[in-house]
Formats: sequence, structure tokens, C-alpha cells
Amino acid sequence: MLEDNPFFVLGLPADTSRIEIEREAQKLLGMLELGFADTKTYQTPLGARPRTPELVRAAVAALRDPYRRLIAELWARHAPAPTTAERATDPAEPSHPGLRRSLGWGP
Amino acid sequence: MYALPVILLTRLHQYAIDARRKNRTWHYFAWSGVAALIATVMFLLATTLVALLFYAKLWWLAIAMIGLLLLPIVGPTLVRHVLVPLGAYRLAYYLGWACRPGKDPTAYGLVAAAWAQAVKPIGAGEAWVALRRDKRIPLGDAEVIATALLAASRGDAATARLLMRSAHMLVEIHPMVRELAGEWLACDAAERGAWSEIAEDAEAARWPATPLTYFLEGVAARRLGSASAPSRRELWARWLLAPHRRHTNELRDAATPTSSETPAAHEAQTNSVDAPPPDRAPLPRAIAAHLAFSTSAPSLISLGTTVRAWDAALSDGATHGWLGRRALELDAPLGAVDRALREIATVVTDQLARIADGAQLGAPMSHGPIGDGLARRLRHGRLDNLEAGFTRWRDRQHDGEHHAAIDEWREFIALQTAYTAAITAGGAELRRLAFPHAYSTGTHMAAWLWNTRSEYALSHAISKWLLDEALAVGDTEAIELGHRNCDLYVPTRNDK
Amino acid sequence: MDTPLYVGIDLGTTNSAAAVFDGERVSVIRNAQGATVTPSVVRIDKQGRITVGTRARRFLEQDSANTAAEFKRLMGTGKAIEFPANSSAKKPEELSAEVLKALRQDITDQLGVQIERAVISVPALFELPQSAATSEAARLAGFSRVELLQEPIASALAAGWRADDDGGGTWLVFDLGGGTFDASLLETRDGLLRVVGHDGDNFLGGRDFDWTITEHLASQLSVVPRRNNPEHAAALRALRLAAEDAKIELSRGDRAQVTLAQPLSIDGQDVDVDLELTRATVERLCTPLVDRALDVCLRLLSGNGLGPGRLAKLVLVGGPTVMPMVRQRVAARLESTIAEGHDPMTLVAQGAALYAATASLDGRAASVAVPAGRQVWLQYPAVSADLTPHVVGKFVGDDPPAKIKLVRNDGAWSSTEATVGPDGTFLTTVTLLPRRASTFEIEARAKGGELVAVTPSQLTIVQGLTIGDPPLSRTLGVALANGHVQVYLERGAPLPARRTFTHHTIETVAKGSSDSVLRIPIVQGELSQAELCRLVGTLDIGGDVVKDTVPTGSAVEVTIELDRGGRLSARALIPAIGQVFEHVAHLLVPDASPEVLDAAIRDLRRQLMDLRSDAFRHQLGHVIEKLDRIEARLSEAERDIDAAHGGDADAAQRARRALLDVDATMAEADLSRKWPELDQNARHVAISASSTVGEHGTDAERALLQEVLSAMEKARREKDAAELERQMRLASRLSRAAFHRTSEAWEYYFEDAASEISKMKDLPKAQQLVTEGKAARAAGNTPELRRVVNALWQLLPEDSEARKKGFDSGVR
Ligand SMILES: Nc1ncnc2c1ncn2[C@@H]1O[C@H](COP(=O)(O)OP(=O)(O)OP(=O)(O)O)[C@@H](O)[C@H]1O
Ligand SMILES: [Mg+2]
Repeated sequence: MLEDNPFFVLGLPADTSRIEIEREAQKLLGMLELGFADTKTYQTPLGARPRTPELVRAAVAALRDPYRRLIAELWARHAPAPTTAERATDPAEPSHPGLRRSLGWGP
Repeated sequence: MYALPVILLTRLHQYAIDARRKNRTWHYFAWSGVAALIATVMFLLATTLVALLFYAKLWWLAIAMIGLLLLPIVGPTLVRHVLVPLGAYRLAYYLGWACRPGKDPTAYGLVAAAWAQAVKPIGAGEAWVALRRDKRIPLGDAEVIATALLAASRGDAATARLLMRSAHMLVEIHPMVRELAGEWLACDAAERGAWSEIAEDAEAARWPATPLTYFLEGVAARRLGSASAPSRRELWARWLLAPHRRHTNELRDAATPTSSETPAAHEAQTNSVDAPPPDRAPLPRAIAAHLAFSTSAPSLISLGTTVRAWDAALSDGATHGWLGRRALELDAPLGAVDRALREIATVVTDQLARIADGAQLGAPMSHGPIGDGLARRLRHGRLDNLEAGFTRWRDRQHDGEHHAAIDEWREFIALQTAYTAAITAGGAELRRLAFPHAYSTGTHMAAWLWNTRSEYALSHAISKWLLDEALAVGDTEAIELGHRNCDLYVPTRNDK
Repeated sequence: MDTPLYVGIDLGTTNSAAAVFDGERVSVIRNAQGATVTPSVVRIDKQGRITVGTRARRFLEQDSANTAAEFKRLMGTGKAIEFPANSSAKKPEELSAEVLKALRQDITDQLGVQIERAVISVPALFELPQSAATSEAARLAGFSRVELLQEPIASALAAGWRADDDGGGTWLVFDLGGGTFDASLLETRDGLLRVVGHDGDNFLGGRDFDWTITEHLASQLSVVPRRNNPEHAAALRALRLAAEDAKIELSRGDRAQVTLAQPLSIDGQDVDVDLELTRATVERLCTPLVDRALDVCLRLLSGNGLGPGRLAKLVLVGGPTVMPMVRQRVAARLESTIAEGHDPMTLVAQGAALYAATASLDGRAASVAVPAGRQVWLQYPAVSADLTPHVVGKFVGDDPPAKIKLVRNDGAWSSTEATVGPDGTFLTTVTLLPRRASTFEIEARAKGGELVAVTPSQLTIVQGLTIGDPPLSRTLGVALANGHVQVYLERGAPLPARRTFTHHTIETVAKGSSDSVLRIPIVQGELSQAELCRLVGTLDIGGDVVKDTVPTGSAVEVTIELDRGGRLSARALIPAIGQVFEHVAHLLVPDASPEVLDAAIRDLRRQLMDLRSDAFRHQLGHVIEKLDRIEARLSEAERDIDAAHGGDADAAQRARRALLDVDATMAEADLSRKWPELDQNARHVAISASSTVGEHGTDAERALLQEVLSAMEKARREKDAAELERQMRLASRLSRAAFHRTSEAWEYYFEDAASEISKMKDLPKAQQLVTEGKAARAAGNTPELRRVVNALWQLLPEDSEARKKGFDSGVR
């Protein structure tokens, strides 16, 4: 609900008007198609996420429907501000990478 | 004339190694010393003898003598330091067999071959080893450990770990092979920084210790600051005894800091959840608590806090008011507010259930719509999945669709793992509910593996597990049957 | 640059039509006969010559065996249609392809260009196999690319396009076609069209009107032909065609004569047909059918919180809506006025053409332009509701121009100069002329300020109503092992779409074993129970293709992708072995042979009886009510199956659908019935466990039972069936353990097992055991008796638990 919230996907504030949303989405789709570097990710409160045309399409479609927009707004308006910062390091990360290999157990 | 002392010395050497395997005290060093001494004597004897024979131009006899006298002593070293690094799985297999450790030499050969394959994976090697493994019926610890190494050779460490650990449940014991499993697990845990796993294995003496394992256990104990941790000097001794010293000295230094600070602090997990500022309204507070799971490991406490935060947020007047107003402004259809509240409750419960499942947490004690919903979801979700898995296993067998013994075993350990995860999270109550279904399938499969497939060790392991579970939940009938099944004599290759 | 040509095609059950949009105006294509609609009829004669349209339709009566109509309804079934004269058989999509070819030829004849790309409309409730078959038909007809669009959206787009008032609001598209009825609720706001809701009846249309009229006419003949008699089929067909003609005539006149040139031959007798039909009669006959459609509309309205009279606009589409009675009745019951000025027969095709513009699907083959000057890739909406849309572009190659400016053709507007980035990208905004096409010249300047020639040198944007992406018409998901559905793409999801979820396997796929297969069933439908949805494809992962054994509980990442042509693809990744599987077996709409239907309906009737008697026993009023409704639907389906026996493939499909629906309702009723039964069982178990454990149990068991009993009480209070069942199992185990401590238990089990000796696997051994058991019983040796009973149980065959509910799914 937060990671793929339409407002975050489109990078717009939750009070954006319908027409503004359409315009922005259409621009994003064009930019994604042409490979603009700065459109490839979007910010969420959980850090940056990759942006795809499917996500953008789904986001506009959701915001056109008043009910689904209501839900999207509920999350977007009450969540902390989106950030680009990646989340804290994954706890699963090895603390001695490659140790098993150097101790003769490969591969 | 020569045969007697040679046999005696070989036996003595073997005895010293075996004695060392059973030990984790200063005896370990003593037995190592004895073994080394005997090895030196044997080596000197053998070289003199061989030299003499060469001198007498009996060189074919000399070669035979080398094989006879030296292989049992230098064989494992050759395997570890030459053949395995070269990835020479065939040679490792035959040499492993030739150094004749114990009654079933092929077991060590098989694992040596898999080990070589794990270090230098070669496409054909896997099939070659698998073929030799599948020829060995019934399955024992060596086959399971070899399969684990094959999984590791493919980079699938998770499977390897699971399989290695499962070997512990089998009654067939090849110490030579088991100690390798123990070493693999210790190296793997050290790589992941899971020192407590190593310490736990050491504590329970689950695996015979190789010098390398013994060293890593020392490091683990020191890092965790446990009472049984070796002294600085002892760790140095263990380090000296173990191979690959060049790669382990860093670990040793980290575990023997010169300053007074204890390394234990290193392990301690930060488990605190960012406490949301109290002035926030219930809904933002709930969302913030929810988000905290992405940065810090969830605990039963933080889960409980979040559940309560959500229950408060969804019954909060401000939330309802905001929704109502916004629904009107957006011209949402009638009933949108109630629908939205219901939808959010479902989504939140779903996500919390996934978080709880991932961290193997139970349902927090909190009574509200979200709390109750989550408890029900977790309980039924876990039980349903378990029952589906066990049912499928039995259905498949019933439909006459049989897998290779190793795959039947893998299915069992996967189910058992899921079972353990579910009951760890769900507690004694869930354990009692989960047991009857697992029991009925488990006994059935154990009987089938024993009677039809002659997989005695596997069947016994299943029965043993079921008995332990029955004891835990106090199911008298299952306990009785379990005892009867477990008391059956389990034939293994070590009998001969 | 000449004007683009956007093509839309309405591939109808009865009639098809094509339209083109050039950015300014929509025009309907006329065929060689000068008509705007072409009957979807194909005839293949002895020489294999293929005739399509009006000329083929004439043969429906004379040479019905070699003339096919209404094949659209069989799309996706894979059922071949026979043409005995040429002794050939064609699949429905091949016949549709012939119709498309004819329309494509008409476009070429009229406009002088070869068309390669188009938008084809499909009914709103088409399932994936049907959509995929439509795409296939287009491919066979020589189209290189098509997109599909739901018919009601096309109608709304066409109706909204020309509306001058942009007041917005909710409108209803009432599309009553030859065989299907679609009601769609749409909304326009700020020039954006959105589907709010949809409902319909896949088996209601003009042909039902025809059949009621035909039956009315038949009843007046001296010998009455019957629908379930294959021998009467020819006569009925002739009569039906006459009835249809009369019906169409009565849309204008007041009375019509039904006269056949040749007498009908029924049961060996010649029957002359010369009857008169009045408009009043036809209206009386057809009113119930129109009311059925209206009921659907009212249901749709109330489902979306709307009452009649709240509609801003009402658009009527389809042949039968030409009938004055239909128009009056619809307007009256929905309390709204009908939007005038739309041609109900071609509105769908016009909308499809407009949509082709939105999707930038120029019908002409892409010409290989010789690049003159700098090449630039442009991204902009071909149709935009927004008056000031963005234009995004990127120059190909190094060293792009420095500045760019767009100048509108009418010279009244030009954009501010936008800077081109070092990577060749730029972004600018244009201002459109309302409700028409605006063309802009691209002016690029190098650093020094000199003009640079670019290709393309201009771009055109039409301002008007847009719909965004076409929505998915039915929810798509994966059936899980527990019989539920994991929804991947919800109804209304914009296409193309793609979604990934992680599942876990619940069985082992053993490497090298071809027996062991992990099945991932893909289903479509709105219900959460898999068995009530349609299976549209499966992704099978066999033991013979996996690199290593995949044990129970392994993660599987499944991705489902759907394009605008109804083509489904799925991919499963198993991270543990790092392997991807992509082969999806696509399924067809199941064939509905009358015999299968007979069996199915018999089965449902039996279930219904069981449910009914149960419902009476427990006095469940609401369940009984539900069952009455089921009963009515079953009777209706029975009539259809009758017709299916007479060779009506369409009736067969309708019956199949109805039976599926009944199945779903029945499952619901079944659930509400199960609870009382379970509740009662639980009571019994509780009582018997209390007494047995109380008498023979240990202290620990008694304490445990107390806990279980209170848990059961709680589950009963909360009506939690799953929990209750589990606790019951626990109680039964406790009570059994206690019971086994008694000697009677084993005597009882022994009797029981001995009585089933005939079913045992190893009879001599069983007999031996029984003898031993008898001796043990006589000696009062309980342990020995127990051993014998256990050994006997081993010999009994056991039931494997059914798992068909989740389409044999191997994932959770
Ligand atoms: N003027 C008319 N008056 C009454 N009925 C008519 C008239 N013209 C056509 N019909 C009837 O309309 C039906 C065909 O309608 P239409 O062409 O809209 O269907 P279709 O688009 O081919 O079908 P579908 O939309 O279900 O695929 C036929 O049953 C025909 O008899
Ligand atoms: Mg139509």
C-alpha cells in the first residue's frame, strides 16, 4: 500500500487534481519509454523503488476511481515523507563474505 | 613379522582420532598429540621400509607398502589439501575409499567426491556423484551429506544447510563423514556471522569436531562471551592445530582483543522500535509503527504495539471524519467509507501476518478487530499450510508416485521445518492442534519407508521425531506407538 | 506528412462494421453493396469458394449446411464448423478471419490504402481464450497488430466524442445485440471516460426475440415443429429467418406478412406458411425479454448506489434497440432520455476507430521514411483530454541541437524554447485547439542558432475524450492448493499489465521424475473459490525439467502478464535452483456436449435434493429460498440442453454457463448448511469424549480435554468452522486413546475389521489373522488382540483425500 502507492509512483502530492495527474503520468510514460535517467526510480517512505510503465498505468487508473483514490490518499497523506534513502542494511548479509570458500568448502 | 606392529599402530592412530572426536576439553589436544606422534612413527617406519625395499629392488612391493602403510594416515590429508581443491571428484572418491576409515569406506569416498564437486563444480561431476549416491540403498548420513554438498556446489546454501542438519537425525553414524558436516556448518555459520549457531552445536556436541570446527567453536564462544569460552592461549592453540591458518588469523585476532572491551557487544541486536512521537494522531502513528518493520527486526512487542496502533487508528473518530469528508469531496460512491475501513483492515492484517510469518512470531495478545483477525489468520494459515503439505505427501505415496529416497527425505525435512517454524511461532496450543494430522501422515510414511522401501534410517528418524513431538504434547497413544517403533533395531551399513 | 488513418472494427455476432477516424472526422465504411453493416455470415461452396456478408446470408435458408453464422459465440472453444459440400472444417477464428478480410478489403476499396493495424471490439465479458481467438482471427486476416477494446467502452467513446456538452456525469450504455446484452455504467469527468461498472447477460439478444416469435408462429401451423427434434431443425430455421425479417420490418411498419416461398416439410408433411404478424403481437412477445435486460440495468445501477433517473445520458446500441417498443420501455423504466443522433448499428465501430487514435495505432503500414536531418524520438498522447499536454523527446546520436520549439500550424501559438539536454532529451508543453486536431512543426536550433532539419518534422495531437488504458474485464489470478484464488490482476486493471507474487510449493518436484509435476493453474473469474472460476491456462513444472529437486515449501515467484490483445503469458522463477519456467498451456473454452451437460445437470439435481432435505431438516429459511432460485435456473438450463440435443451449439454454451452459475450458488448454500451439521457433530464429540476420557483417561488427558472443550465452545461461539474441526479432531484423539485402554475397544475393532475382510489386500493372511484374533479374544489376551487388529488395519485399502478443488494446484 505504501511501496506502490499511486501518489508515490507518480511523485505527486496527494492533493493533485485529476487533469494534473493525467498530464504527469503521460509525461512519465513518455520519459520512461525514451529512457530518461531520472524517471527510473521513485521515492517512498521505505526508500527508492524502480518505476515501470505498468506501475504508472496502474497508478493513474487507480486515481481515476474516486474510491481507490480515497484509499491511496489515506495512506499517502498520513505516511511520513518519502525518501530516497535505502533501508537499513539487510540483516541477512554475511559478516565474513567468502569465508566458507577460503576455509576449503567452496565454491 | 612386520604386520603386527603396523596393524597395532594403525589401530592406535584410529583410536586416538576417534577419542579426539568425542572430546572438547584439553583431551582434544592430548589425543591430537598422540595421533600426531603415532603418525610420525608410522611415517618414519614406512619410509625406512620403503627405502629398504627400493634398495632391494623390490619396488613393486615398495609401492604396495606405501599404499598399505601410509594411505590410512595421509589419505584424508591428501583428499582435503590436494584432491578437493583440484576438484578431482573421481580420485577423491577412490582415495577416500582406499584409506578405509571404518566399516563402510565408500561413505567417506562419496562425501569426499561431493566435497571436491562443491569446491570446483563440474557439470558432469554432480551426475556422477548422484548416480553413486542413488545406488546406495538404504540411505544414511553420508548420502544426505553428499547431497547437501551437491546443493552447495550449485550455490544453494540454504538447502545445503537444511540437509546437513538433517543428517543429525539419522542413526547411521560415520564419524569421518559427520565431522565434515559439522565443519561445513561451522564455516557456513561463521561466514554468516551466526556465532550462536556454532556455540549451540558445540554445546550439544552435535557433530564430532575437526580441528577447524574446534577453532571456530572457540571463536564463537569468545565472541558470545560464554562461560565455557577458551582462554586466549587456548584459542591460539586451537588456531595452530587447525588448517587454513592464513585465513583464520583474522577471526582469531577479532576474538582475542587486546583491550578490555568484550566482543559480546558485537552480537547484540538492536531490537528497539522507533517510538513514534506521542503527539501524532492515531492513524499516522499506526502507519509509522507499521513502517518501522522495514528497518528493524520485528519482535512480538513491536508487533503488538503496531496491532494496537491500528486498532486505535481504525476506530478513531478523526480517521472516520477525514474519510467521510474526503469521500464526499471526491464524490466516491455510497458506502465508500465503510468499505475503505474494511479494505484497510484486510490489507494491514495481511501484511502483519506476512511479517509475523517471516519472523516466526506468534500472534500478539491484543483484542480488537485487527488483533483478533491477525490471530485467526496466523493460526489457520499455519495449520492449513502444514496440513496441505502433509496431505500431499501422503496422497502422492498413495497414488503410487514414489520418489528417490533422498527426495522423500527432503520432503520430510521440508515439512518438518515448516512444522517447527509454525509451532515455534504458535506455541504449545498450536503444537497440540498441529500434531494429530502430522502424526497420522508421519506414522504412515514411516511405516511405508520401512516396510516397502527398506529405508530403515529414514523411517526411524521420522518415528523418532514423532515420538519427541508426542512426548511434547502428551499424546499417550502416540507415545506408546512411538516407543514401539523407535525400539525396533535399525540395520545400517556399520553393522557388517 | 499525410493524415493518419485510425481503423476500428466491430466484429459482431450477427453484423460487423468498420469505421475510420482521420483525426477530425469518423466515417463508417460501406461495403460493396453500399451498406454500413456486413452480416457475419460465411459460406463455402463445393469449389471451396468463400462468400461473406449479405450474399452469404441469402444462403442461410437454402444451403444452411454450408453457411455459417453466429460463429463468434463459439470463439475460443476450438470447435470446428463443418462445410460438407467442400468437405472441410473451419475453426470459428478462421471464419471470423474471413469476415475481417472482407472488411479490410472494403476499407482498401474505399480509401485506397492497405490496412495493417486496427482496433477490434469484443464483448465486455469475453474471457481470455475468446479474446485470444479474436486476436488470432485478426492475424489470419493479415493484420500485423491489433488491440482489443470492450464494446461498451467503444460505444461510450463514440457517443461522448460528439457530445458538445461536456457536463460530465454518469451514463449507461445499453447494448442489446444479436445474442448478448451488455449494460455498462460510465462516467465522464474533465474529458476522461471511466468505466464505473458493468453487468450483462451473455445469452440475451435479438435471436431470443426471433425464437419467441418463431415459436409463436410455429404454434399456429397445422403441424407444430419442435426444437429438440433434429429432424425439425430445417423447418424451424426457415421459419426463424422469416420471423427475423418480419421483426425488422415491424420496427417501421405496423403489420407484416410471414410468407415462405416453399412449403415447410415437417414429419413428412408439406406445411404452407402464410401468416400475419402485428407489431402489437411482437411487442407483447418480446416485452419479457426486454424486461430481463432492464432488470440487469437496475441491478447495475443500485449496485453502484444509483437510482433510476440519475443518469446523465442513456446510449442505446445494437439492432433490437431500433424497435420503438424497446426505446420507449428503456426510457420509461430508467427514467432517462435517450441520447439521439447515434447509429446503433455502427456506434461500436466508430468508437473503436476513435480508440485506435488514443492508442496511436495508425492503420497504415509503417512506411520506412528516409531520415532527412536529425532523427528524433517523440512521445506524446495522440489524443488528449488535457489542453496542455507534455511532449517528450530524445535526439538520436551524439551532439544534439541546443534548443527546440514547437509551432502550431495555424500560427496562433508557439511554445517557449526548450533546452535540449546533453543526452539529447527535452521536455515541453503544447497548447491544443479544443475538440480538434492540432499539428505542430518542430523547430530545432543548433548552438549557434541556425535551424536544424529534424525527422519527423511535425506532430499531431487531437483534443477530445479519452479513456486511458483499456481495463481488464475479468479478474485474473492463480488457484491455490487450498481452493482459494490469489488475485493477480483485478477487474478494471489497466492493460497491458504485469504482476508478481511469491508462492510456496506444497509438494516436492523430484528431479528426473516425469510423474511429479508442480501445477500452477491460472483462473479467471470474480469469485474467491477457484473451482467456481474458469481455468484459462496452466503452467506446469515437471520433474523432468528441473535442475534439482524442489522440495515442499520452496518459494516460487510467479509473474503474470497480459497484453491488450488478450494474450496471457506467465513465468515462474524458483530461486532455490535459479530456474525460470515459461511454458503456459493455454486452455480453450470447454466444449459443451449435450451428454456432458446431461450428466452435469443430473449431478446438480441430486445435490440440490440433498441440500433441500437438509435445509428442511434444519429449517433454514434463507437457504430454502436460495434453493428455489437454483431450481428455476436449472429448469431453464434444461430447456437449453433440450435445444442442444437438437444441435444448437449456442444453447449448449448457454447451458454450460448457467450450470456453472448454479454450481457457484449451490456452493454458497452448501456453506450455510454445513455449519449446523458441524455444530451438532461437535456437540456429540464433546459428550462422548467427556464420558470416555472421564472414565478411562489419565489426569493429564482429563485436563487437556477440559482445555479442548473450552476451545470448542469458543469456536462455536465465533462460528469458526476450521477451528472447531481441528479441536474436534483433538477431542476425538483424546477420547480414542482413553477408549483403547479398555478391552471392549479391541474386541469391537476386531469385529469391525473382521467384517471387512472381503476388501483386504492379502486374503489368506487376513484369514490367518482373524483366526488368531478369535483365539486371543477367547483367551482374553488384549495385547495380542490389539496386535491382530493393527495388522488387519494394515491390509485395508484407504481413501486418498480429494484435492480437485484447486485445479490440482501445487502452490499456496
Ligand atoms: N431494425 C431492426 N429492428 C429490430 N431488430 C433488428 C433491426 N436490425 C437488426 N435487428 C436485430 O438485431 C440483431 C443484431 O444486432 P447487432 O447487429 O447489434 O448484433 P451484433 O453486434 O452482431 O451482436 P453482438 O453485439 O452480440 O456481437 C439481430 O437479431 C437482428 O435481427
Ligand atoms: Mg454488437
